[in-house]
Amino acid sequence: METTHTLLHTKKLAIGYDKKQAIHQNLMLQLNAGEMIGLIGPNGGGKSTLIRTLAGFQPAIEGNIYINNTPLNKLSHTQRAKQLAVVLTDSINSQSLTVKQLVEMGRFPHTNWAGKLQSKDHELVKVAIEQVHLTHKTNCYYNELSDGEKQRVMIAKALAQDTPIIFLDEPTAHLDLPNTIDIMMLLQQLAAKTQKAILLSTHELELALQVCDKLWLLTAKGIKKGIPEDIILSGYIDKAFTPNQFYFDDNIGNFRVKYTPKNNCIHLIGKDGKELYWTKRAMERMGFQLKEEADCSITLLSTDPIKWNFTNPLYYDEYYTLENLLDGILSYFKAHD
Amino acid sequence: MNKQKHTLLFCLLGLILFALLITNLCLGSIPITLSDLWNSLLGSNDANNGIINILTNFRIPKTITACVAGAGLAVAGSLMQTLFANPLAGPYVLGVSSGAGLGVAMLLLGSSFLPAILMGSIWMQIIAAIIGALLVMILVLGVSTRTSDTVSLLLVGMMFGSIAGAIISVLQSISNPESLKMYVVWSMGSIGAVTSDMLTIMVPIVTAGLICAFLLSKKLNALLLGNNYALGLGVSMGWTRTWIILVTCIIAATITAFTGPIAFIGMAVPHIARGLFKTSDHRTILPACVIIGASLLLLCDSFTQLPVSDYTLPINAISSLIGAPIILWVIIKNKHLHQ
Repeated sequence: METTHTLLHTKKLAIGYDKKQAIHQNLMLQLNAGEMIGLIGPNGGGKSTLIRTLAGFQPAIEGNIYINNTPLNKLSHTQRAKQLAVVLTDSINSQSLTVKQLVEMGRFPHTNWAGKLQSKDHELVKVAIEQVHLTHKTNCYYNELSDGEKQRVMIAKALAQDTPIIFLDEPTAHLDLPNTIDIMMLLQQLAAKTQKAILLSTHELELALQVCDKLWLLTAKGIKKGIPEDIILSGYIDKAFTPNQFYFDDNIGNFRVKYTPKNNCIHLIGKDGKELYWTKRAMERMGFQLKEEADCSITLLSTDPIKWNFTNPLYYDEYYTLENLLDGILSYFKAHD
Repeated sequence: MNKQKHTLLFCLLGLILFALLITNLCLGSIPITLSDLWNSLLGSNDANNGIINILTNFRIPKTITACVAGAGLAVAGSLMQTLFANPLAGPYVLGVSSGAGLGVAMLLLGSSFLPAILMGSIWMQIIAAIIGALLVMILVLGVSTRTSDTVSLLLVGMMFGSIAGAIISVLQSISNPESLKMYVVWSMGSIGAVTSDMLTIMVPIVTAGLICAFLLSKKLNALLLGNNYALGLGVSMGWTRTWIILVTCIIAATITAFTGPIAFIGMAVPHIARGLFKTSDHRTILPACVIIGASLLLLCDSFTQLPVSDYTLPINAISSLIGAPIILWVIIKNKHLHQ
């Protein structure tokens, strides 16, 4: 039986910039080894502030942060850097740093005054670059890499720092979807394999629900903690983001657009499958209400080749693409409203 | 692989520096041949007393001054470029040289108001220069925390330079002729005006500054990643910033106190070093700055002697003619500056 090992915890922590106006207060947070925690919440909700405070970059307004039961503010800069590493959104402007040199920077707290690397340091740097799958780019210049690769270099730097805790502030902010998934999966595997505690803030809610072990949801009324499924069922996500044109669909675990409904009703008939699903989505997007007691009906006739039948009181017609089908429905409603 | 390349490059630069040293010793209003130089330096019997006199009293101090000033300004420039995360930073453009000039002007021109005991001491001149430089640097640094924009920072440096210039003008018009003359001589002051007595003060101070700079190499490397990442690596920012400023000011101000302002060396040499060695690692760049800075100022100084033997051209003009085009090239090449 594995026992959970708490690496960091807080007691009555209050964060913010102004003593009178704390963004969040009375926080009791806990980071365990081997756990990946996703920090989610609306913009301006205090995600960065929380990470900066936990990393010791800015003072807590009240309360304490403990790393292995030692108060964070009792640690020297170097001691702190041996316990936690950060990956930030800051871009690196330096022109002539190679991937290897950058990752070697992670050894900073462990080396002597001249920063001389020993064979153990070289080994850790090599392993860190391997872990983010960039061995083939070891001697490339950082500023010539793609955005996804750059982010992986900074993660490798944090790994080379060899700390039990890693904080990442929006590690996928500038990335496209494949790179975002790649980074999140990488972090999840690292947490499980290396038993590090990883805390990352992200906007990728749907992905966070799938890969994080736990979520910290920042709401106006404090931080909700729990495993993703419990957080969804609690209904707090919808409240936290207070959307106008969006809503959080508890059934599938992602955000959906609220479409302005029209008065037109359609009855959709067909066999379950992706064809029927996307036909339904297209109808919802157009604002048609799907009801059984409707004058008109759409029948998904076959899927190979894909074919729809639109029947209304006046005529019926067959269509081979959704675009043509929607055009047909719209022109019917226009003529008969 | 890379290490071998760097070693080779260092050897090559060392050879160039040596060649420039010899050239610099030979050139002047009275040219000295290589064999004369050889004999005089070895103290052989064939040596001409006149030439020995010229070498020990003029050429050797001047050559040492050029080396120390070039090396010091280049290292100071490198520190400032890293501290400000700005490729266009340097002691001259950011007004540190003007600040040092203001300090000296206050001392020399304000002499009528100051007790006589403060006057005439070269130490006072250095301390005044350092105080002036520190003042400007702290002001510029203060502004730089509010704006990270490259162009505004340069404008701020220029403004402080102008203010310093304006105060100097005011002081000039209200001071007595004697002290005015002392100041004008200093402000035109060339490398050649530094005597071997002065060198015994200048060389140890600048060397101490350079050693401190080398000791800061590791922290400077961390600063390349930006303030937040440096913080995450365990760099104590306040301490590090203070030391970098102090070291930069001591080096740049001491040199300026003795030689008068020398433009662009501090800004241009770090770019040459980074371009040649293709790295930003200060453990390589700082020694490279020392060698290249010394070489470049020796080269500039040789040019001041070369074209017309009877006249000595101002070193500040030559260093601008060589340094400014390098900076222009940096601006055109560097796309990051536009944001």
